[in-house]
Amino acid sequence: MASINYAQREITCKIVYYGCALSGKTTNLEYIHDHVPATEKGGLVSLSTQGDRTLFFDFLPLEVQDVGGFTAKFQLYTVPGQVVYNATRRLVLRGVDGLVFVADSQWSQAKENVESFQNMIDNLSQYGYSLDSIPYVLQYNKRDLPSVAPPHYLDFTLNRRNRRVPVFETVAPNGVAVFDCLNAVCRLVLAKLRAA
Amino acid sequence: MAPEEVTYLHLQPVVIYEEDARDLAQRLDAFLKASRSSLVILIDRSGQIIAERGYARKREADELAALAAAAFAATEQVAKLIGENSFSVLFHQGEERNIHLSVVGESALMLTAFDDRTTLGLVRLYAGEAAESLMPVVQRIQSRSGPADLPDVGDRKLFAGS
Repeated sequence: MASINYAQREITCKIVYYGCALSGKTTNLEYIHDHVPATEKGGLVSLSTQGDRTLFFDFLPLEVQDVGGFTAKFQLYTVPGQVVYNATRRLVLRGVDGLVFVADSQWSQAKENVESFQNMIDNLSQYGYSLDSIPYVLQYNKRDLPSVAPPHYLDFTLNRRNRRVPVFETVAPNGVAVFDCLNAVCRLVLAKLRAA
Repeated sequence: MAPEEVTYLHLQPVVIYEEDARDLAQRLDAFLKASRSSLVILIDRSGQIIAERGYARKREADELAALAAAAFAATEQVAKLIGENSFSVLFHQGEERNIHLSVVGESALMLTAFDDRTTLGLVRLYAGEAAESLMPVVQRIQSRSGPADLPDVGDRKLFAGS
């Protein structure tokens, strides 16, 4: 959960990138890490297997100075996408303040996206959280690949709750819309804290 | 099939005022001195730092806190598999530096880094005492609801990228 430290004038929030296996969650964090000035970031910690698949999570601490007199710290996490690692996905969600759901836009991954989205809802419910009360955005990734579903189809499968959320069409390795997506979720989280 | 147990966590932010920070620093400093440790970090279970004292490189504490909370959460699941509710202490022994991780109530953890200037026994002894003294402050902090006087960021681009 977020913390607001008036003694140090710091706001700290936890943002989790969720999605099915190989949808590009780690690639998002790698791109962000490579393109944020050193003064605004810590090291990228990756707990991965020898085959470079995420085993537990990736972690990237970011900070922005002078947000209305505070330093805003955002701790970005990914979850392991592979189905077998559900227990660790659930652990990473503990205390989450904002979510980026990274969908793989390819037609072949349509079922996996929906299953992963439902899995996110189920895992949130284990902590008594509801997606209706957590700021989140959708990211339709891999838009550069040839066989991708159109955004309106992805909206139909993933953005059909009462609250429609912002959508970003991304190409994570090239950084297309990656920062737009990050900024959007950070703003939503801060706005939610302000309204708390 | 029995429904899975739900652990209710509140979504309200933790709010730390000057007075809380002072009370925590006083207790953590006393612990550092008594146990002769080099660093202590009070962490909430989601991996965020509540307070830290001692020596850590810039942002090292953030990474330590995230990894320690994850390690503790993972071993908690291991404990459940063997019929234990939780392990109350974790200890990682290195060649020069060691990490001791212990619970402070149900919602916080205390990470202590120490070297051969002290012993595990001494750290364990004082960590237990420190947890007792920290608990009321942690409970006070976590029982508050968030304030509304936070900055409005509007459409500001927080991260520009390059």
